[in-house]
Amino acid sequence: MSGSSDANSRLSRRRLFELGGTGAVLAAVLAACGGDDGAAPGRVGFAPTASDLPDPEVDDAVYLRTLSSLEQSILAIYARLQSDAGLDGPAAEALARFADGHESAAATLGQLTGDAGGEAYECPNPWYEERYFGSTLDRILGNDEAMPPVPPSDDSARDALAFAYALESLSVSSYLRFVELVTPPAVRAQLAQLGAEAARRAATTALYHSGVPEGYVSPELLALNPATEGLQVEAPADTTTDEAAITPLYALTDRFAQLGAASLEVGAADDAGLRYTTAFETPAENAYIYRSLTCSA
Amino acid sequence: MSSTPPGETSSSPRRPTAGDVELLALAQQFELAARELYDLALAAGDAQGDAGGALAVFTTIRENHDEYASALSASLGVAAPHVRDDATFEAMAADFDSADAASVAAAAYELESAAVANHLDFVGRIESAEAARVLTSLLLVESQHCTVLADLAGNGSDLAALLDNPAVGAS
Repeated sequence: MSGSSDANSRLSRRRLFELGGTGAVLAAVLAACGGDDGAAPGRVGFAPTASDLPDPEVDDAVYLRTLSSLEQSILAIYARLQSDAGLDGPAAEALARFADGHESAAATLGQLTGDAGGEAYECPNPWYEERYFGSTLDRILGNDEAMPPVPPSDDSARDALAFAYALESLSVSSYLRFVELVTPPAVRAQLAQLGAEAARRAATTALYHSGVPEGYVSPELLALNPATEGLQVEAPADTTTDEAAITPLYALTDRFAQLGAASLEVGAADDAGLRYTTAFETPAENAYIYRSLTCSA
Repeated sequence: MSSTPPGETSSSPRRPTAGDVELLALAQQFELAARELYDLALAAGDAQGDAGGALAVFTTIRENHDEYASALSASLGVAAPHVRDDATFEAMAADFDSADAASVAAAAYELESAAVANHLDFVGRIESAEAARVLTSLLLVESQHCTVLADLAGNGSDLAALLDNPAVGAS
């Protein structure tokens, strides 16, 4: 009996150690999971404590900074196109005038941003640069450093005009969007005027790209009404050097300015006979230049 | 300065105020005068072909002004005047009543430039965000009318004529 009792006693001590070890582990786990917020999940390692993102304030200054960033993007793109796209003659003169207009617009927006209590933003829009503008420029001018390398367009001057048309159309839709969002009527009028200037630049680009009278009115607009349906002007001549046709551009495309995306087709045709296509969406929250975003111009 | 959630419009009134209605009514009268001026031009030039695209342009712009008047009716409701601005019509009728497409385009360029300038002035005085958007959406296209008409009038090589609004000031 005593032997059996000793055995039970040793087992009890072993069992005690086992239970004690388990308890220590549980205590450590509970301590790690503990905190002020009992519902929060446990943390492993030494990662810093996560904090919620601040709720961004969206006000007139943010809208104006966003428009400024688009103007800066367009200015940088036009500088590249002026130097590298092979434009000459009236189209090159027009692009230089366009750049002057955007310089003026950027200055106006900087002033309006200050008046709205914000800090002027003088850098390109990072969201558009990363997703749209960089890749479009590559398709027009080529990029040997890309993987795989991107060949230049078969007609960079033609595609520079198409890019300008899409950028000016994006400007138009952006100004229209923010006219409704900003508060002071005087600021709305200034944005509407900047949009009107962009609208004329887009129309001018269409005339250079498609020629006249072919580039005056889009077939879709003519077809909207029986009075104009039969007045289709012959489609612009296709001047492409390969098999892939180019979509014509028109000065008058809609009855009312639109908030929709500005589509674009540029670049050399691939093996399937297709060119690079994209569409520049009107700025939304993910493209806004919030007050917390800073840059060094 | 207002603060609004993303995607929301500003704190301005959505519906036109009494002052807005007065301005929108003037805008509609201008649009109806423009429509009737293009009617004159189309009637005078109806026998011509459309080799230069004038008929397509004038007809399209005429239809646009008709739609603008309708859009303004939607904003104005029962306050819509539905009558043209006689002063504008009478001042320009002789210039539009012509079979010379280039001279009509030159007159139309002046008309569209004035339309854009007037509407910009109204946008700067209207309180309703919705009414400001409607007026802006049409003046942006009227700006493009100007560019096409400048070319049609024979000024396609003049960048200032294509790009600048003489009634507003150079860009």
